[in-house]
Amino acid sequence: MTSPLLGSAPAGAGPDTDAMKQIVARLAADEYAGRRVGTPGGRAAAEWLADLLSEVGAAVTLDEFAVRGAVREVYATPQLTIHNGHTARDLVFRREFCEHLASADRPEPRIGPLADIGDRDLSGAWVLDGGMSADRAAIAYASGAVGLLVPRGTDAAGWMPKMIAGPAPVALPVLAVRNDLHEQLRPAIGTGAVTASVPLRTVDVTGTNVLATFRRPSPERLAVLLTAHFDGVGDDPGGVRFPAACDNASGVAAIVAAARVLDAILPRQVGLAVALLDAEEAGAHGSAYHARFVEDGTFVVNLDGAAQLSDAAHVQAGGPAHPLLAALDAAGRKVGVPLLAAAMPSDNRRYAAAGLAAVGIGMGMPGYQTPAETADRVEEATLDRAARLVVATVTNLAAAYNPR
Amino acid sequence: MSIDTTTAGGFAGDPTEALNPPAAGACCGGRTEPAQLSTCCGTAAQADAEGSCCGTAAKADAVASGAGCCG
Repeated sequence: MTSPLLGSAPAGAGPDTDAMKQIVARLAADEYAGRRVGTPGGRAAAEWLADLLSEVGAAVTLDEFAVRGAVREVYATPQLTIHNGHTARDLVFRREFCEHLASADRPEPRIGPLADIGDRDLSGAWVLDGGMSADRAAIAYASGAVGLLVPRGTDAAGWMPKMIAGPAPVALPVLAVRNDLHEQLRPAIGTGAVTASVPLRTVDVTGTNVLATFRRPSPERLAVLLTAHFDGVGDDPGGVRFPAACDNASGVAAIVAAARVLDAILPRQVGLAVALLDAEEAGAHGSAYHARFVEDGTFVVNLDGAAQLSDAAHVQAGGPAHPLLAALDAAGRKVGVPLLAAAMPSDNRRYAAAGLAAVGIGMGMPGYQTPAETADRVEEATLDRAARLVVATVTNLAAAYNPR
Repeated sequence: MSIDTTTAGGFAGDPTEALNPPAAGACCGGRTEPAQLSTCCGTAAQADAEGSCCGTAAKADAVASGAGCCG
C-alpha cells in the first residue's frame, strides 16, 4: 500500500524520516490552529490522521467521547493595565501575565486600587498575593476584592506556558503576573490601580480518538498498542499560535513511522494497533475513554515527546510491565538510546490504571506549550531514534513472547 | 575496583525502577502507596478531585518554575 505522503511500505527498512518531518509540519500548520480538543482544528487533525493511516492499510475508526467540565478556554485576550500616577502600562499577555486556571470568568475590565492580601480593607481592590490559595481567594472575595494577582515564572525563552486544565475555579478573577513585575507592583500598593479582565470559561467538548488496526492478533498471541496524543492546547484568541510540534506532533509522527515498519516485519500472528489520542492536554481523557475497550493482555507503548533527546529518554511503566520493560531496555541498548526511570504523566498512566502493561516514553519537548514549540525545533535525529526505539521494543517483545 | 554504570543505551540501573520512578506521584500509574507529593503531578487526591491523571495546579506551578518533567 502506498501513500502520497508516506510512500511505499518500508519492508526491511528503517523509519522514514522525511515522512515523519512532514507529519510534524502538517500537524503544526495554521489550519489545525493548535489542535485543542473540541475545536474545528482538532477535529480536522483527527480526520487527516485517519486518512493518513487508512492510506497505509490500517482499518481506521474515529471514536468520539465527551469531555465535560475539564477544558478551560480563554475566549478573548485578557487585559492587564497598571495605572501609577498619570501613567498607564498595558502588560503583554503570555509574556508578562497570563490567565490563572483557577480564575473566575470576568470578560469585562474592572478597575480597582492595588492592595495586599494582608490589608484590612480589600473592598473593590485588585489584591496581590504571594501564591494561589483557594482559601485566601474565598476570604478576599468575601471582603469585596475585585480580583487576585499572583506571581508566576516563565520558561527560558520568557513565555508563560499555556495549559487548559486546572484546579476548580474560585469566585474571583485571577491573573498570574510575571515574578519580577509582581514584585515591582508592591511599592504601588496604596497609590496604584489596575484594570484587568479574564475571559476564561469552562467548556464541554467532544474529543475524537483515531483508532487504527494494522492487524488483529491470532488467539493467545501478542497484541501491541502504540499510542501518542495528537491534541494541543490550541491557539490563543488574537492569532498567537501554539503549534504543538513537539508536544506531541513529534510523538505522533514517530509512532506512525514505527507502526509502518512493524507492520512490514512482524510475524502475522502478532496484533498491531495504533491509537492517536485526543484530550491528553485536558487530563488524558482520550486514553481514559479508550483504555476500557482494550483487550486484556495488550502491551501499550505511549510516546509523548520525540523532539529533542538530551541525556536520556524518560520512562514510566505501569501495570504488569516487566516483559515490556525488558524489551525496552534491550531496545535502548540496541539502538543506543539511554533510558531513565522518570515521571511520564501522560496517557500511559490511563492504560496502566486499567490493568494493562504500559510504558510512557518521553524524548524531549523544547518550547513546551508555548508559541516557540515550532516544527523546526523537532530534531530529525530524535524522531529517528524514537521510532527505532519503538520498533526494536516491539520486535524484542514479539521474539520473547510465549503464549500461554 | 569501581563499577562503571555508564551505558550507551538502555537503563543504567534496574529497568523495574520505571514502575516507581522518582516524583511519579500516585496519580494513574496504579501505585498503592499513600499519596506522595510529586513535582509535576501533585497528589493522587488532587488528581482525583480534578478528574485527571495529574494534579494540574501542581503541574502549572512546576511548568512555570521551569520543570521539564511535565507532559
